[in-house]
Amino acid sequence: MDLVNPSEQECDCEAAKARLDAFRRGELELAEVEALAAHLQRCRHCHCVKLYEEAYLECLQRAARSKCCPDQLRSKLDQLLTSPPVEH
Amino acid sequence: MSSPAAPAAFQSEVLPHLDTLYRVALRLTGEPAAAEDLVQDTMLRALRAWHTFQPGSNARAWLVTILRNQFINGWRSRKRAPAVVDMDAVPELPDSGDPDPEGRFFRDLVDEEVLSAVDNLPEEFREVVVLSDMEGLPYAEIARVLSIPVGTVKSRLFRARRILQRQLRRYAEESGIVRRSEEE
Repeated sequence: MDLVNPSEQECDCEAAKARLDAFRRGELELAEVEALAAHLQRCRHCHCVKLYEEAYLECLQRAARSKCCPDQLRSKLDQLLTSPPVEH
Repeated sequence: MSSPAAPAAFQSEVLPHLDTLYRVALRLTGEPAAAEDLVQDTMLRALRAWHTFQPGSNARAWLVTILRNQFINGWRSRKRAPAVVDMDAVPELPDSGDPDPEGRFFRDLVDEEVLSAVDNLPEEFREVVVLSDMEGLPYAEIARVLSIPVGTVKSRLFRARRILQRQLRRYAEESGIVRRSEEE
């Protein structure tokens, strides 16, 4: 029978949320990844936090990609770089 | 001027990062025309400093650092004053009783509204959000660009996300994309 000390459970949730970013960036040790995955499987709240953070990041990356360097600036820079100004 | 080989190497290292430079410039200046000028100034400065670039090192971080320095030295005074945020008034999301705890509403947000919310962040928060969450730079790279410790990058990012997520949530509620939280 699994008995979870409430204070340990609280600590687990805090640790899990603190590690989510490093998890996404592939910066956790294997043991930390396994501990986090186990926690996410049994904790609905932290699982939702993970999905929430992922949805937020996808939203920001999509918005960022909607803007690109304008063609006219690219052309201007191409021209600048192929015929650089003479230094005095 | 430098030998012809230098501009060729410069182009191959630098041009792949033009979109990133433009996007960062756009979020810093808030205006497309100013962003174009800032990118152009950055490229000229980078070209002059090309001899200081170490082959094999990170060109993206090097360029973003130059761009940010250009912004601080010549552009920041033209930018509007940053908003002041009371962190105590910004609760963590998702909260208990949240009608959308998995953040599905993020998928339905309009890009321009998302960018506008980012632009409204105080500058020190906006910088880390743009570099981390929009451009995907690692913590260490961001720390180098901003000349701050990695721990400061993490704490700023934590606070910035909290503010931004709250702002986006408010927009989603006002637009009818998601139901208002009980607490409001």
